[in-house]
Amino acid sequence: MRFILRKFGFLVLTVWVAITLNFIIPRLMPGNPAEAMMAKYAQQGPVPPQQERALELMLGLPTGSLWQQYWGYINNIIHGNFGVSYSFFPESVLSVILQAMPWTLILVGIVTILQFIVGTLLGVYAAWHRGKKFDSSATVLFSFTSAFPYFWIALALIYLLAFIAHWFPISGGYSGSLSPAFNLPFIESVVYHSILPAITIFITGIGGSLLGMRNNMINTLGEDYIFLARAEGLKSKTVAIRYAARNAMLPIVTNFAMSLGLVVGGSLLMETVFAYPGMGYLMSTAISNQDYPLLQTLFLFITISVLLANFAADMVSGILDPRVRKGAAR
Amino acid sequence: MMANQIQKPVSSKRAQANTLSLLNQIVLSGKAMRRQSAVRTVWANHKARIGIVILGIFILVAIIGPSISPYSLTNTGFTVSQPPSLAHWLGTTQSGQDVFTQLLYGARISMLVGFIAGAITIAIALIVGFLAGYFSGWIDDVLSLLMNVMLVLPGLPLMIVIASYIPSHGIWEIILVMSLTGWAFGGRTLRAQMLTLSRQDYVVAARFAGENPITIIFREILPNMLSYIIANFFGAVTGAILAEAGLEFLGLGNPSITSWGTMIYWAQNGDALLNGQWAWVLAPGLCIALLATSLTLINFGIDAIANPRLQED
Amino acid sequence: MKRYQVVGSVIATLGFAGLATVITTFGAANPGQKISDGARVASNLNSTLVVGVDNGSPTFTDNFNPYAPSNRTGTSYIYEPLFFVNNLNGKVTPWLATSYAWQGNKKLVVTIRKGVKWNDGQPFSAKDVAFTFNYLRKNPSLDSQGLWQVLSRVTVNGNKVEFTFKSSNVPTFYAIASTLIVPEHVWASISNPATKVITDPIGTGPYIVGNFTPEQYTLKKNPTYWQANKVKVNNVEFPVLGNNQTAALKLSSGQWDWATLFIPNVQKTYVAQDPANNKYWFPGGGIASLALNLKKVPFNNIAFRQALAYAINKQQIAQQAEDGYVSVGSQAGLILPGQKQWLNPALPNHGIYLYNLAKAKQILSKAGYKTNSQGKLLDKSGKPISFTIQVPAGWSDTIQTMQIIQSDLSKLGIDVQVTTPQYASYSQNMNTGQFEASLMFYGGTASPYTSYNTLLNSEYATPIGQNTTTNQERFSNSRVDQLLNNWRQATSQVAQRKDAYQIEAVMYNQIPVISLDQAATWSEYSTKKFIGWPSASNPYASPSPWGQSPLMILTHLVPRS
Repeated sequence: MRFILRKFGFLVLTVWVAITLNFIIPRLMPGNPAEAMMAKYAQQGPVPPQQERALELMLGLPTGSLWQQYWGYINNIIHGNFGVSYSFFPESVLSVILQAMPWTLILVGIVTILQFIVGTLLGVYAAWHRGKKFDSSATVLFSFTSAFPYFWIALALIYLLAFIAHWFPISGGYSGSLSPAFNLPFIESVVYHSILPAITIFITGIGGSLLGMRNNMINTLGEDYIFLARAEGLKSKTVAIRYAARNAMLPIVTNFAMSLGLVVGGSLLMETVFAYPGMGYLMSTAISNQDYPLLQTLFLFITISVLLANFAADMVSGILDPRVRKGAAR
Repeated sequence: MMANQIQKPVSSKRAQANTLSLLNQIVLSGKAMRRQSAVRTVWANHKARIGIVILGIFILVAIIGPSISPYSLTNTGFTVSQPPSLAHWLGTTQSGQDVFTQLLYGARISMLVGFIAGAITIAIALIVGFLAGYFSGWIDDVLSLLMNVMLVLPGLPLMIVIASYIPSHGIWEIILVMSLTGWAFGGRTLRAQMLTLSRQDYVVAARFAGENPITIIFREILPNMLSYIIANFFGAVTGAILAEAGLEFLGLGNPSITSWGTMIYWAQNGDALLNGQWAWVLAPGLCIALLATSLTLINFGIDAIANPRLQED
Repeated sequence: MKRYQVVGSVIATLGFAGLATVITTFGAANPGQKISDGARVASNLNSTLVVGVDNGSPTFTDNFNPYAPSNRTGTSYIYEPLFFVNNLNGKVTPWLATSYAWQGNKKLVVTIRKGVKWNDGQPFSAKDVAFTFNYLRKNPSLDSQGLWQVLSRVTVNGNKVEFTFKSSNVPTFYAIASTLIVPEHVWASISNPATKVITDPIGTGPYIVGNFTPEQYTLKKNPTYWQANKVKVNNVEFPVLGNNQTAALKLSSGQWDWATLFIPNVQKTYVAQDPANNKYWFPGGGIASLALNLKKVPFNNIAFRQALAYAINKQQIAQQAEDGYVSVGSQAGLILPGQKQWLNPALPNHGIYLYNLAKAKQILSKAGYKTNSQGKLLDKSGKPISFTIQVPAGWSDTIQTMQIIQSDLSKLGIDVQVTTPQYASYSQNMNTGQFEASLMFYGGTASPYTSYNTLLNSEYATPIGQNTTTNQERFSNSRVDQLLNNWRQATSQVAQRKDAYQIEAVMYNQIPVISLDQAATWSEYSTKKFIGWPSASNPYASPSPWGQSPLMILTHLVPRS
């Protein structure tokens, strides 16, 4: 229980830091673009007063003392009031983001877990057969694939498999002629459009899981109890899976949450290349449209998603490992 | 946390730091001997050897690249959008520059950005990690919390928000943004390492003898952490090179410089693939990946110093 | 041990789910079920025009409000103006109005077309027209053309609408002509027009909204359209564009019938894919220029500006930064050849400063500028001249333009830095005059008066630090102000031309901004399904699928067979 509370406290703290960074960044920068931003809004038409206040607070226009601004800003966020989007005017930032969020969460979520599982299993295999052909070729190969920028892999896939070979659609999240609905043609179209983005995340992300697991596994394999198990004549597969891999998994689960931050970063760029209707593509169009309210709120939502995933992983590793729960290993 | 995928070697590193007990097995003997054997251990590792060779080539290119490049970087007078040919090994850009020349010049900027950002990142990580690890107590609590927070904030989105607010995008601004968002990673590893080392007998003895903490850190502790520092440095460099490419790709970098990142940006803006100029896109991406891989491979060897179990038989 | 088994089975389940995903995803990709976007389009009825123009941001929001800045591009296929104005040459075609006449130079009388219906069946009348203009007066933020700065009242007189002016301002006709007319019976009750979301737009235009999804929408033909017999395209489809690069790939692979994209090497990447049908036409739509801050040294020196105009290789810019699609911009500020009837014949070489480095150096030394031992050009106080040009981040072709200028000016011994701030700070710098040199677009208006007035009127040349959205280079010349004033009062083109010629001479000799190239309107189209597109030989409209041109073009297109 104390463990959960402590982790929850950390979650709240990190969310608060993200929110506060969002507040500070526009105020630290010289030549604040906020006024230009508000001038652009003024050209679009009257912004409702409450929304205007939210925008002023988010963008850092000087109204009232810093403390007043800060509390006003926090208050707005608690009430889900992030102002209106500039590029989607007059839609609110929140409704725009809520539309894009499922795309990223589902695609990136599924593929990340998938690559984590496959990578970990391959890592176990490589460590067990250490120094053999698979180990040496896989470690070098996957070090190499994970060294490419996500967007570069995405470009190559579009060009070869979509533009030249016509196997996959060039961009988008689903065929435009279908209305989003929970029916077979639509789901098929969604899956079909998600294959290239999924491959991109998979092949660039898998190296990390594989190498991490391999090294941990090699460490664990050197532990006394493994020698003991082997000496007692247990089958090597049993030793590998039951004893070594499970213990090597522990730190890896914690790492998973952190590598998630990296995968999410890469996925943002990947989505941009595929014009995939998720948060990453939204973020890059927000950059080119100078839609600062949207950009900042996206940062907040992405961060909170990562933090929640992190919290979940902490819980899992707490279940796996009593030492973690007692706070021995931080 | 660095904003990209290739922190993997370091993430295995972090895992090791988590299992601190392992480190106790490292026999800390005479420093000079240790350093010499360290180089040998790294070189003995096949992967690391490949990595060192690749890195060596890239460093050479970065140094002498401009003098061996076939054309001048500012020459925009070639026929535009040419596919690879004998005169232009990688073709020409949409604005009539030689792609191979850009690649050679780009090595210098990309590596400079990567290594400087890596160095600043690791310097911040060292200072924070050392302070936390050496002094422990409330300083450690505060700094550790700070590192843990920085560690879980997704790096690239944070960089994007900061970079989009910066009014001008010079190389230094980009380096600064990357360093400020990327240090926590190394900081945590180094703190854990510091914590272990500062409890070693010879450090405790030096402390009791009333030696200056700075002297202790530089004389007794730093040399024994060198492999960790280098491994983290390489991780930070890789991260910075990829982050730079990412920021450039989003148009948040400085498109007026010639780096591998800006090359992809311009290739993308010039619809290089549509034009069939695959080499223009392929080459800089490949260089980024090769350079990052070489650092990862070297880290395999460095891992082996810190953790003998990872040594190749 | 038990705990581990639980986790193990969780992981196994996840793994299985993942595997299932892989199977289903790859299952969908097998060749038998291939449903690529291209194939789908080809299977559509031949009477559907697929237009790659609306980008969303990045997906579509269902809003066809003509007053909302982020409305759908299809909005302009639904609402119509009084007259169609061809910005390429200024030609005026009656649309919802049938004719106009000036009574003196302070009163404009417009006769409204009879027999037009709104697409909800209600009749359209002069009252709707007057309502529209008075609605703009009530909501000044919608009056983007500043009509009510010169109008004093708009009234109905039978089937005529009378526009009364505060002071004479003849060129305002073009702004009145192109104002989109909205129905009184819908808008009278809307008090917050800019933020109102309109999903079911009531207009007089040739199309009404069909299907809508965030990735694509379709417009279908309005059966009660007043010139329905001219509309042969039954459906217009707008798929989401995607980013520039995937859009170019889609255009090249023939998924769209009409698009507006900058695409490199268009002959090879687009035309060659289907030489019989794939066409393009990139007429000039404005002038890209280098604006120098005229309130700062040394830019306030005419000789210095002239030297720069000679030293910048505009031909190379047009060739390399814009792929040779555009022509060099005339210092007269006109889009040629469309506006050639306004061009002062006394200007040498159509008002273009041809690249001449030697002449540039000669002008500088004659004006007393010296170079130091390193070849750097010195200002009058003996310091090397160096300045910064700003271009918005991400505008790749113009960034390239400025890089060419950078290398050209280095030959004069001037160090130029190119900065790429975000658009917001770029435009703020321009507005407040906090820049040395900057990219600036101007021109391309139906009447050159509008271009000259916004570029040169000293009324707008605020001191540095104060905002202005026009004349940001801060030019002021009382003679030009006088000429602009004359033009406002002249109803005959002959009289207007006299003023134009003199203003052009000032543009040429004093160089308020340095014209670089004619910024093109990108337009690629396929004649596979429809023919009758505008072209250089038949420039009846600008070929863009946005703005008001589609109204004209869609009443010209006919099926191929």
